[in-house]
Amino acid sequence: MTPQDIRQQLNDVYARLISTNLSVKQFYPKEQLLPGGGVSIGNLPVSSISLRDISYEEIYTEVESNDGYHIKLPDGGLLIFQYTFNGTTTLTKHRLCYFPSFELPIYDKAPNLYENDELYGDVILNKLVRFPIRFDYDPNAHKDVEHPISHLTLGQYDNCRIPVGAAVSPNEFAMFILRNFYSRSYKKNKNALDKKPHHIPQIQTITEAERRITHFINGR
Amino acid sequence: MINVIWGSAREKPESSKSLADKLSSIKALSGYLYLGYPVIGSPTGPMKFDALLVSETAGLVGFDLVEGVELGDFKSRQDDIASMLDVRLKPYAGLKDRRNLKFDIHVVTYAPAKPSVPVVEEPYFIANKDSLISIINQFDWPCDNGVFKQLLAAVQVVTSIRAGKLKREPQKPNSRGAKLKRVEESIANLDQHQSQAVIETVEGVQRIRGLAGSGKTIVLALKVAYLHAQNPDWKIAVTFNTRSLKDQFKRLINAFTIEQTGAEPDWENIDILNAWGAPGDRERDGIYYKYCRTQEINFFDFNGAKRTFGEGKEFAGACNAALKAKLDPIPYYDLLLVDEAQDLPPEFLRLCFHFLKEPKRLVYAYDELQSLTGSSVLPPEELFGSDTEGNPLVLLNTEEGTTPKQDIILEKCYRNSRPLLATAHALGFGIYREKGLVQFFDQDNLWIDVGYVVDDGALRGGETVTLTRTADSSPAFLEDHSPLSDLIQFHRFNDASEQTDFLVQSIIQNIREDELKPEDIVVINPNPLTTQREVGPARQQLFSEAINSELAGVSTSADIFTKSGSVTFTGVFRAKGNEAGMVYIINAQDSFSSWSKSTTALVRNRLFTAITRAKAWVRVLGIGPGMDGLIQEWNTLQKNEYKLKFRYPTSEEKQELRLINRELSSTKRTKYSKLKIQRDLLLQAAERGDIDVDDMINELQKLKKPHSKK
Repeated sequence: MTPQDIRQQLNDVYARLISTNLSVKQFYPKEQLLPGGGVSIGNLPVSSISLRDISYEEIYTEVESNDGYHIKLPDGGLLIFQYTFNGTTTLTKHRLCYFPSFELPIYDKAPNLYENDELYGDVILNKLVRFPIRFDYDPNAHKDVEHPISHLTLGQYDNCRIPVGAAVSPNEFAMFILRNFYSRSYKKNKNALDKKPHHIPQIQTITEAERRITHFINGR
Repeated sequence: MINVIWGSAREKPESSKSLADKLSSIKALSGYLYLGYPVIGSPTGPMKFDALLVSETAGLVGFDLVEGVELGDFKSRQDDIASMLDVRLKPYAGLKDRRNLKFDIHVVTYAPAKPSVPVVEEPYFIANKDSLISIINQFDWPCDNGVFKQLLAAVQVVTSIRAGKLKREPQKPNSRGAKLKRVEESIANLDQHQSQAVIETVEGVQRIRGLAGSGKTIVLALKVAYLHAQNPDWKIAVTFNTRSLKDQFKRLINAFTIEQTGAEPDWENIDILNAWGAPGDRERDGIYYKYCRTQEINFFDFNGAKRTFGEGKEFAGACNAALKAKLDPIPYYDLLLVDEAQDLPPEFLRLCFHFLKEPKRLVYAYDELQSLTGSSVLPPEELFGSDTEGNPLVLLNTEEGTTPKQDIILEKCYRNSRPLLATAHALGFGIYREKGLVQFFDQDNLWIDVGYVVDDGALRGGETVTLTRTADSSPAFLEDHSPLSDLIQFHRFNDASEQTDFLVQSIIQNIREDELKPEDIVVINPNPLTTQREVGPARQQLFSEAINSELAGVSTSADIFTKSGSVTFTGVFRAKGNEAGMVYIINAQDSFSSWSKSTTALVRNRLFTAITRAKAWVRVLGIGPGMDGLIQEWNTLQKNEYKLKFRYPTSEEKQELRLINRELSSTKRTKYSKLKIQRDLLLQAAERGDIDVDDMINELQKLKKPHSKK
């Protein structure tokens, strides 16, 4: 996995999400050279706020109103893609986040609103619980089982770190979100979204002990 | 004759009315009398003026009205009035001679009920019913007409705040960016008509009609600020159905209130609400939801309403059910203002009416031609229904003069240039359509009201008439900046990809060469069903050229057109209430015709709305034969020099068209409203004791018809 790989796959993801209008507003992840020869992709001014101890509404509003995201989905769901490399080849970190809007109806419940511009389509009773989703990758913080290198956090639970088999690529992440939480539009745009993106070889990081507990395995 | 502008004079109704009557009776007196205006912010809080006379015969006279017979400390009140006016007018260079105003400010304490008044020395004046005229007659205007005009303008300036603008620093003197900058700077303060619409306060229902770009939203926001300053205890709500208007209202009301009173508005008493609304936080609240909550009745959400009432009848059905659920609803608001009423069902306006305390102060503003949903706004007699005896609950008094104006029309358009507006009207009505008109105003004089003049012929059935807009109703600076051929263009393509290429290339050119900012550009797809599908390819091409874009949608929180850095793509619903320098309309062919007459009118309205979003330039793009049809109509309009020349339809023909402005026949209307006014006057007289009530009852008893005997 190289910065070049990430960039190429991000290009594919952006092209698909914009042309299908699943991205209503977007900022292309910026690339920065780090002192000591590293590369960071997708640094954002307000990303750290997602960890602080404040209510989810505040987190979302902060990220949304300061353009602290990379792609905004039609129902206000926000996607963030961040990768850090040591030198030009070694992935040292990634953080991939999905922040759903806390107030707008989710896409699958109110397709008329998002697809047909229905004026009152947002007037619906909400009974769903929305929660943020985050895929982190951090070999330096690794503690076997307790803090897997690649892990999934649901909600903002401090100790939720579900082991994941390998580092997660931009396309893998985007499609994971769309397939599960935007199923209607995923199916509608299946042809465009299922095209093979730029290939990125997997970096397997899960340990034997982590395999013994419930974990996620990346697709191939 | 003076022109009386009736502001909110709730605290001193009798003396205000007496003042208006007395001054109107002076034939030689000319100018404007403002009642309950202005409100000027002072260090000790807002200062409300009782009345102000601006006259080219009597000069500037402030009034201190006394409702009873106690004069109190009139001297310090007069001093306050004079010094606040001084403060307000001094900033205007044209009104000053070195450090002093060129004219005197007179202040009169007027106590109509006081039989005799003490003698005081200048600069103080006290008048009662008998002495007012002689006191006014001793004043004069020492300056010329030019100074008077400046004084009038200064008094009429309700605000100096303009809607938010972008900072631009164009490098080329004649680029589009530079031209747009000049146009934005020329959009002056409110004109006299608009400020009058702000101030005129009706103790009842008021209707405001105006074209796109005539400033309806600003007038409503200012009305809220003015009436809140005058009556801080009133519960006021302003409502609409376009989410993007919410922040705009909030910003305007806040700014205007600060300007008028020197303090922020009391948001506890002002609600800016969606029309529908849903449970949740305050942001999601709406008038209908609040009504259900207050009356403790069943609430429908969108999906529930759709299941129960059917597609397209969701909101009308929900409101109707709410009205039926409780026949004697508990009123809550003192004043309700409804923007974009053309897109709201009549049932909703009725619900607003029932949600109001007496005297039912409801202000509703609309532009029929912008109806996107195909429903037209009914005349008030039908809109608000009738009482148990079949008499309409609301009748608008359209007579001039003696009472506040209930029916206001804003005919000046400050957004769209004359050729642009003529194109929008010609296509919207189908003036040059081969198969004839698609819709029409029912009232002939509405053409004049919306700012057209008859150039040739007459507004009579069967006659050929030529209508044109003047520099008065369509200011010249809106069109002078660019050649006519650049203001509006139509382009026809063979297929969607050709259209997309042209769009993308033009936008690249606008941004790289013409010095437009991405946020100056809006791309509108008039068919709401296809927006998602149609705009993707263009957005992707722009993205690969490093031009960012966004899709205006529900998730776009704040003012959707003010954020910087991206070109906005939008469907026609979300485009409403907003404006941009350069507007591209794609797939205009969808608006050429539809399967029935009424849907054709509907799709034409969408085109109308899209065209009228443009502050400077419009590009209408489309594909295939439908587009050829539109271009043909536009070519005819061009040949006629952007005048509307057509055979005026006869009454029968008009009946056939969708009557977009149905009214009761005028004689019936006048009769009703006259009777209602006379009845009200009679009741007021009885209240005052001018009429013997018992005597009156006897008279009426005699008239009472015996009940029919079987």
